[in-house]
Amino acid sequence: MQSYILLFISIVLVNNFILAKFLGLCPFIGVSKSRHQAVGMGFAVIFVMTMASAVAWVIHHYLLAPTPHNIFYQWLGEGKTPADFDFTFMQTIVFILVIATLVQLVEMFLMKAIPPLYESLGIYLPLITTNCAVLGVALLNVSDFGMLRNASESFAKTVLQGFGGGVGFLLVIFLMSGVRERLEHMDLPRALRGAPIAFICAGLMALAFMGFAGLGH
Amino acid sequence: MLPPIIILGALGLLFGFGLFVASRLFRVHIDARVGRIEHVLPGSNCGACGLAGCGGLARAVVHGSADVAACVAGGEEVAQLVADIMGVEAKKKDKLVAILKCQGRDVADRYLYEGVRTCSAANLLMGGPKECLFGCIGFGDCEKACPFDAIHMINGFPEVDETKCTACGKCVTACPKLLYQLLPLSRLVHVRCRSLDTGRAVRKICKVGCIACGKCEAVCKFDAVHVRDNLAVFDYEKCTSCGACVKECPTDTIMGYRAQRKKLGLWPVKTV
Repeated sequence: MQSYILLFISIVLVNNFILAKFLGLCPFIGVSKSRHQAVGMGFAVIFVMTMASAVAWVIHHYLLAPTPHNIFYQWLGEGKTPADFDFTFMQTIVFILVIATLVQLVEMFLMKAIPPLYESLGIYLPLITTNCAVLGVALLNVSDFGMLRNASESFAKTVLQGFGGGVGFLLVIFLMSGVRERLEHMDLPRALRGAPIAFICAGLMALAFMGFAGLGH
Repeated sequence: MLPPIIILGALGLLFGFGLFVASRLFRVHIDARVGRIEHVLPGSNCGACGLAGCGGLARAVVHGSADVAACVAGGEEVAQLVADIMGVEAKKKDKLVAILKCQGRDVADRYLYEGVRTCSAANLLMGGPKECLFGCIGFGDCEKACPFDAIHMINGFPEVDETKCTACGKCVTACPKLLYQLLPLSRLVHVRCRSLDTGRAVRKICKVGCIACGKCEAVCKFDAVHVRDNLAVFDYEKCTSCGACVKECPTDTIMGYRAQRKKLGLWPVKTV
C-alpha cells in the first residue's frame, strides 16, 4: 500500500510532468489564461491519461510485450519462446493510435455536453493528441512497470501513474492560471506582457517544485 | 511481418468502429443559420462586437445572446442581411465614423527623432517630436491598425476614408495621443483639435489649433459649444450641424463635413 501512496505523491509533486519532466508545455502555456479553461483542460487530460494508461497497458501486455500472455505466443508459439514475439518496437505508433482515439472521444463528448468549454479550449483540445505528456506517461509506464512479474500490480500501478500524472497536470495548470489571471491586471513593461512573463512565472514555479524533491528524505 | 500488420489493422478497425458509435451517441445538431450568418458578416474578425471573431458573433446571434445589428463593422447593410436570415427586423442604429481630432499638418519638430518609426514609440520620448504635445505625431500607427484600409498617410498625415471606415475602433486604441473619436455620421461639424494649451501657446506652434477664443460659443444658437480647458467641446446632443461656428472660427479648427460627405455620397445618411 505504501508503495502506491509514494508513487502517487511522486508523480503529482516530485516528478510532476510539467514542472519536473517538462512535458506538455504547449497546453500549459496555451490554456492557462483563465481558471475555468484550465480546470476543464486539466480534467480532460486526467481522463485521457488514465484511460490511455489502462488501454495502453492492455495492448502492451497482451499484444506487444514478450510475455507468456502474449496472444500471438499462445496462438503461434508452439516450440518457440515468448522472446520471439517481441513487438515493443510498435509501442509509439500504437500508443498514439490509442491516444488519438481517446481525444476524439473527449472532443465529441465535450461538444455535446459542455459546448462553452469546447469553444474555449479550441485547438488545444485536439492537440492533447500530440501532447507529449500523454504519450510520455504511456511510455514511462511501460518502462517502469511493464516487466513486473505480478500482472495485476503492474496494471494497478500503471493506471495510478496515469491518473497521478493527470492530477499533477491539473494542479500545476490550475495554479498557473491563478497566477496568470492576476498578471493580466499588473502594470508590466509592454515587452513582458503575455507569454514572456508567463514563462518567467513557469520557471519560478518549476524552481519551487524542485523543493518537493526533498520529500523522500 | 504478419503480427504487426494484424495488430495495427485490428486496433485501427476496433477504434474506428468505437468512434463511429461514439459520434452517433454524441451527435450535435448545428443550426444551419450559423453558417449563413457567418457568410454575410465581414469576416475580418475585428472583435468590435466584443465576441471572439465573426464565428462567435454568428453563434451568439443564433443563440439569441447578441443583437442582429451587433456587427459594428458591417453597419446597417449587414444588420439587414443578418436580420433577414434570423427572420426579425433590424433596429436602426446611428452609423459611426472615426473622426481625427487634429489637422496640424505643419507643426514643427522640437527635436530630431531617430528612433523606431511608430507613434507609440515616439510618444514615449517626451511625448513625441512635435511642438504640439497633443497633436498627431504622423508615423501612421492608425494606418497600420486599420483592418479596412480606410486610413491613409498622405504627406505624413492621416486621412480617414469615410466610405471605407466601419467604426471598428482599432485606430482609437492605436493612437497614443487619443486623437480618434467614433462619432455619428449624421453629425457634420467637428472640432479638429485636442490641444489644452492656452491660446497664445497654440498660436505659436499651429495655425489650425483651437485658441479658445470663444467665438463659436458666442455664435451658437443651440448652446452646443463650450470652451473648456482652452478647447472648444461639442455637445452632440444639442448640435444641429448648422455650421454657424464653422464660418466664425478664425483658425478653421472647427470643420464642416457636409460638402465633403455629399461628394462621397454619405450625406444625407441613408436609412434602410
